[in-house]
Amino acid sequence: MINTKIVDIELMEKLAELTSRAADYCYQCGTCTGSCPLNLLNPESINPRRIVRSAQLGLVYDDGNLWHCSTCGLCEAKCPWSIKIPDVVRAYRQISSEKRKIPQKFEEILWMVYEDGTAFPGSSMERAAWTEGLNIRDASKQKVQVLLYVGCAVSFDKRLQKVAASLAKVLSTAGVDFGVLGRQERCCGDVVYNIGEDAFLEELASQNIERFNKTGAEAIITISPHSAHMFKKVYPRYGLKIPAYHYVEFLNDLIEKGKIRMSKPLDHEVTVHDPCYLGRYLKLYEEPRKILSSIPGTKIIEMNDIKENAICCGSGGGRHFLDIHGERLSHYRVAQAAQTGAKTLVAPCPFCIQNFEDSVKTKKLGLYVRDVVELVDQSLNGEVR
Amino acid sequence: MSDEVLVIGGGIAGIQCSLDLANAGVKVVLVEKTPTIGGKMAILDKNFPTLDCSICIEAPKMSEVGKHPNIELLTLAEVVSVEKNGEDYLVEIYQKPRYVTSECSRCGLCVDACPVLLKNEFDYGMAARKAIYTPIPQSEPGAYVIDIENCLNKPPNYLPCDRCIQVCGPKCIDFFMKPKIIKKKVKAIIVAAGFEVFDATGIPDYSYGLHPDILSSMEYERLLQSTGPSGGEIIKPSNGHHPENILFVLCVGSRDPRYNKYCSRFCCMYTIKQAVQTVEHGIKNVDILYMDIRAYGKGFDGFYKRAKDEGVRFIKGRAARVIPYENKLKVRYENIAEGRIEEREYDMVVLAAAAEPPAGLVELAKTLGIELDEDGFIKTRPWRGKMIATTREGIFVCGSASGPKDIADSVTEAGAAASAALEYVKKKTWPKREFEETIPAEGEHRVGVFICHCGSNIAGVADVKWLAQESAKIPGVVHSEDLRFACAGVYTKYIEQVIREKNINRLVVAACSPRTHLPVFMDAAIRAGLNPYLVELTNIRNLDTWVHANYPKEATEKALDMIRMSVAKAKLLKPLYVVKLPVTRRALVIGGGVAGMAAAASLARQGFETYLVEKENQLGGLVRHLDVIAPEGIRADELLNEMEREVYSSGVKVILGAKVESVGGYIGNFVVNLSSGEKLEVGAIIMATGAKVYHPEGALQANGGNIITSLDLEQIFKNNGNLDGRNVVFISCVGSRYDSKGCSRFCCQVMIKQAIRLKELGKNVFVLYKDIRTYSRKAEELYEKARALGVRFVKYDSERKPEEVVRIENGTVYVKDELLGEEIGIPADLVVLNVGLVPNDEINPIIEQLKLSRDEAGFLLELHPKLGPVESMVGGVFLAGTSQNPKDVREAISQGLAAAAKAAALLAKDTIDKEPLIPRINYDKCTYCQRCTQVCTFSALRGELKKSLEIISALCQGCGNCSAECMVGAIEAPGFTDEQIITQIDAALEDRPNEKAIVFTCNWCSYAGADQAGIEKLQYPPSSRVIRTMCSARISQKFILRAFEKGAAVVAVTGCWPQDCHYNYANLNTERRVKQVKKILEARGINPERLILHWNSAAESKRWAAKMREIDELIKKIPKEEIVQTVQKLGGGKK
Repeated sequence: MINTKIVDIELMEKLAELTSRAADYCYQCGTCTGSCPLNLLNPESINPRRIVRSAQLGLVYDDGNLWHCSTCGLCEAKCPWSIKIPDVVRAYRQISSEKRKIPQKFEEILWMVYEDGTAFPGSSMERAAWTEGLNIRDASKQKVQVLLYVGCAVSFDKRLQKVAASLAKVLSTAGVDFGVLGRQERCCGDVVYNIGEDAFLEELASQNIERFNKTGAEAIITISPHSAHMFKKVYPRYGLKIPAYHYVEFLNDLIEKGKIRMSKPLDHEVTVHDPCYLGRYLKLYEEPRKILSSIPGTKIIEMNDIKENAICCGSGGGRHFLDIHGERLSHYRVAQAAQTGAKTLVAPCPFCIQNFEDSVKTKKLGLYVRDVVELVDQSLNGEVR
Repeated sequence: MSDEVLVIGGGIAGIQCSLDLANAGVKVVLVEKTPTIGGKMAILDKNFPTLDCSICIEAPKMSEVGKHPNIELLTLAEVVSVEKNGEDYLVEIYQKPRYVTSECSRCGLCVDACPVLLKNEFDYGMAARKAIYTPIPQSEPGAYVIDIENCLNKPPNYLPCDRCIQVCGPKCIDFFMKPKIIKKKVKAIIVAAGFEVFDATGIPDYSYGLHPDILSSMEYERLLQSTGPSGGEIIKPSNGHHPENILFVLCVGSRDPRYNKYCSRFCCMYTIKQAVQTVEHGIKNVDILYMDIRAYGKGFDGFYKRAKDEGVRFIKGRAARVIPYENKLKVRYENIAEGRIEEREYDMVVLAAAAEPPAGLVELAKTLGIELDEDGFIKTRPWRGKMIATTREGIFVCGSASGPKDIADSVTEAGAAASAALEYVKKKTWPKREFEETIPAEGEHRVGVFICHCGSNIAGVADVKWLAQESAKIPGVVHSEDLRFACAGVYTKYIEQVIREKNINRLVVAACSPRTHLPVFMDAAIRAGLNPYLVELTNIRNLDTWVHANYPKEATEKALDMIRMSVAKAKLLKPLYVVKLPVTRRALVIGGGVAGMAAAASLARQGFETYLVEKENQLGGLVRHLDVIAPEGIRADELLNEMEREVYSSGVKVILGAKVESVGGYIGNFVVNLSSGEKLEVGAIIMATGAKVYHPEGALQANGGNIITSLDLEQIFKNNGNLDGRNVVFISCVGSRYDSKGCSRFCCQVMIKQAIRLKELGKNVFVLYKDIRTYSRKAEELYEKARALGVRFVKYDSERKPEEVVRIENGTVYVKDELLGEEIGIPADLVVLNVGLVPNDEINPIIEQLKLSRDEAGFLLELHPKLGPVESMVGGVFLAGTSQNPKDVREAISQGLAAAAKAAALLAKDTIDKEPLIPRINYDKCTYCQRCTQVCTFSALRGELKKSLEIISALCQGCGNCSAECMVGAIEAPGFTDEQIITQIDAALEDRPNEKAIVFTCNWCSYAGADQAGIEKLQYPPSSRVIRTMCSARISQKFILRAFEKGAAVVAVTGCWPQDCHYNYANLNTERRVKQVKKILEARGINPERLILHWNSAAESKRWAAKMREIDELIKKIPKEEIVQTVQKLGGGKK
């Protein structure tokens, strides 16, 4: 039979091993497919159930849509058995990577990371450009207590650099002893991880860990939830011992300890987006809300689909780098935000901010998109928007 | 004093269990939390797969409980302490006051007076009730109840409101009633606490509670119910409009580890039933979202197919979200067959919510000192080979309290629990009521007529004083009087006194329904010394004043007609006596498998001489071939050893290596000849004759090598045999689920158990299946375990046989995986064909001799699929185990025990009582034509053409079908004789016959439907005159012709829907006869449209009222001349 797929017991076992047997419990109810946000845009997008099915039976899965998954994890959150479907996707990507069957764009990104240490266009020479005039210490040169890991997108994007600047100001105000790696900083490897290029990831992670260790820092904080996820959940496999935090955890702690006092009321209504890697991956749902609530005059109006139900902005899992045309998930999400009537959409993730600002412009919505720390900064320093 | 048994919970399981015990001579204390027994079954509309009206078939059992002299019913009561004292349990029961005494006549005036409006919990809050109310029309006990928490008189208030007291005629409202602690000493306790419905607000994605058109299945069931909040109309609660498309979502809160891991077992079937009903209501787009369709029971797969044929769309998938969107509901899911997400709009979404342990079960278990399982249901353990014992000696469980079960399985377990409890009871009681007949029935007719006011229910519409005056003028009436509440204690005593003083020998009461109140007046007669069968009760309330409230004059005239009809009939009544039939108090169990062993041992333990005949040389049956029993995980040999020990130690007379050669006789008196030469005389027979394992033939068959059956594999396990090869593929449903072959029930769980075993031996295991049907307790968990271990499940086309879709070639099994949507090849070193059961054809001669029936698939046919699963169509013969249908070990044992309980009730006394409805044959008239023997659906009449005819009283059920069939009037149906019916026709048509319709009803459905129309006060014109018989099959052609001859404008013959017929489809004869009379009418030039055949269930009150209106319209259209002509054509004018 031409179209008959033959069950490959070895492949079945390999997939089971790569996914810690994630697919075993699945009884193929299809809740994952029904919940997948990409299917909101186009019902033909992706069928997570069939990906899991293929893994159960040890079948090859090399459909192009494997690369469209944003690994947002909503399928996993909705699955009755909490099956780690994104892990199955990554396992199949890894198998494809081993055969060098990956989209051309990813091939290019991998080379960029390999050669320049960055997933975004830019040179490592420019990584610290944003710190100019901010009086931020270079952790590669002097010992700091806290290492602020900035990440590729924030380092090179003018808009996102503002987030880093806000965070730096807030940390300084709170008297935190912190610094950045500057030119020494390299890509965290989130994209490498999601492409499934495991051997390279190991090398990259080991080098990064070495750099972190040299700083003597006692903690690492990140701006991107993706980096936080890498350092918290993936790097320990490769030997990272320094505790890592997303900055909202750190900031919330400072606020609770009374190290930061915001006094200038902002008098505005905000709505909060839960970035996938901050929320579903790291379960940090309350921290952004607590921080925002402690800003005088700030009222949170929740939109539909929040916390574990949040709809992805469409960027995770390497999807950010692919040129996917048509309706975008971020359009869907900003529309939900606009419905609340809030003036500001808060999204503590660089990818989300980029996407949402694009969508707000495209859809001509009167929404500001801000990271949490930008609002904290405003309240501390009284900047007028 | 006898030994008592406590039953906790008055749902169908508790009811059946109490009746089984009480009928076997045990005093039962039945404790129910709510104000009425009936449980969930009482609030369902119809049952699957028979579409029986649920309350219609349950209500007779409820009232039987209420009347049973061996049952003490305590409602509004809870068990508060249990203490072991020697062989007894000392029990304390706390009973809340009802505030209404049993004198309540259910007139309903208090309800109208009560100012407090509340949500009706029996309608799941979709309708209102008052603070004084009756939960459902058929409530048992019947007295109303006051919800004191919401009453204005809630203590410590001192009577700020006395509206109900003011209007109550019998003065039965008593706010000074106090809670009671009742102490009992019992030998055994049975827990039948039932289940509760999962609250779907727990699943935010389904938006339950956020939109009124998202309903739970129970709420939807109430919408379907004609006495429910929407009067049986399917409407959207949001706006009252009819929906155009409805989605049913399965597994809501079941099979989902976030809520309940287990399968709730009955949701698939009730959902299919609801979908079929929905289609029948004219709603075209009816969809069901399912994961597996678990149509495991007898006739279930056939019903599933019927639903598909009727246009219900089954979509494999699970709802991801239900989103209220303007007036619609958007539902998103993956259509798995298509492999793509779909988003559809529905007007209504029904969630098949899980069955969960009932509230308070934790406390009850604590009080009883029994354990619960991890899901919160009552934990069971094997005890004397029975699987229904709790963790404490002498306490048993039945029904859904030990895990969700459908009605039939609950009823079976109820019998099983009764049987287990019976083993503890030594002393039996038969409360006797001696009375002396001092008033002779013969001689001059002295009729007493009493007309009830029923408060204003009757007197508010009809002129009762005038009725009393007019009644006095009827010849033969010596006393006529109106009474305020005839049924109330003081008045029945008064009636008794009048009977005695005036020597009244026929009693006529014009009041309410004989279905509920006739026993009250029969009792009064008995106390007065009058034969109780000389009493007539005519229903001038439900059939007259309640339904013609706007026509007081016509209603009064109709009432007088009804009284005249009753007096006429009463004069022809003869004294009758309960028939006593002798019983040989011994039992025979045929078949020594687990079902037979369980039945025999339990009967022997109860003290009955019991024979167990087994054709093999050892006991054990099919289980003898098994290794481990799924899903319990008990070793088969250990269970058999225990059961065998129990059989011998209980004193069963085991006869091995013998077959039944021939069997004759009837209930109470069977004669059985064995191949061993022995001759047994027994009163009851239990058919535990088992089934055979299907032997696959054709394209997929075992070859003794790399293709084996599941039974072969079991043998290999049992013998610790060798299993080579790495990859094993199971193919399920080999020989099951096609044509008339249903699901074999147990195979999925057995296969999964085997798959787990193989996986643990290091094999790669693949299972090819149609639907995974792990519905049994802990079976879904077995399925989960198999998946966790890496067993792979591959779904093939469930509409086709496996041999059509599976190919085995060169060590590879090819099949289209419906989940992937593509054909796959699976490397296989060993293929296991999972085989089910087929009927045992060796017992054909016994079946023929006993006149048992078989179902479509060839298994033995039960009396009723829901309420009579262990009784056969033949009295005294009971069914146990796989002879009736494939089932698993636990189910087979339970059925064996339940059959034992039924046999125990039969054998408990030297004689059995029967209502005096058995026909009498007039041999002077009989031509021995055998027409009657051919129509009797119970084989109670036997004879030879032109030679003989005899009636076997034991088998007769008293429907009167034979009497109607007799051409020469040689069969008299007591209580419903030709003369008695004809005299009613004549009396009804004495005056202005051309304005009237004679409406014949059966006792069980159409009369009950008319009763219900009254309860609901549905108004219709007063042109009908009802004549009640037990079954519509009693209606002879001559009655119909007589009515036309006497000038009736219209004649209607009404009865149960054939599937609801209480006499085994006897009413198909009704249909035939009516058609025949229509032909006769046509031949004589009489418009046959004037004769109407109408089926009406007990719940279809609206249907009844609509029919009566239609008949009235018809009457008005018939010209007077036409009626005159009809009378002439039929020769009626000559006289």
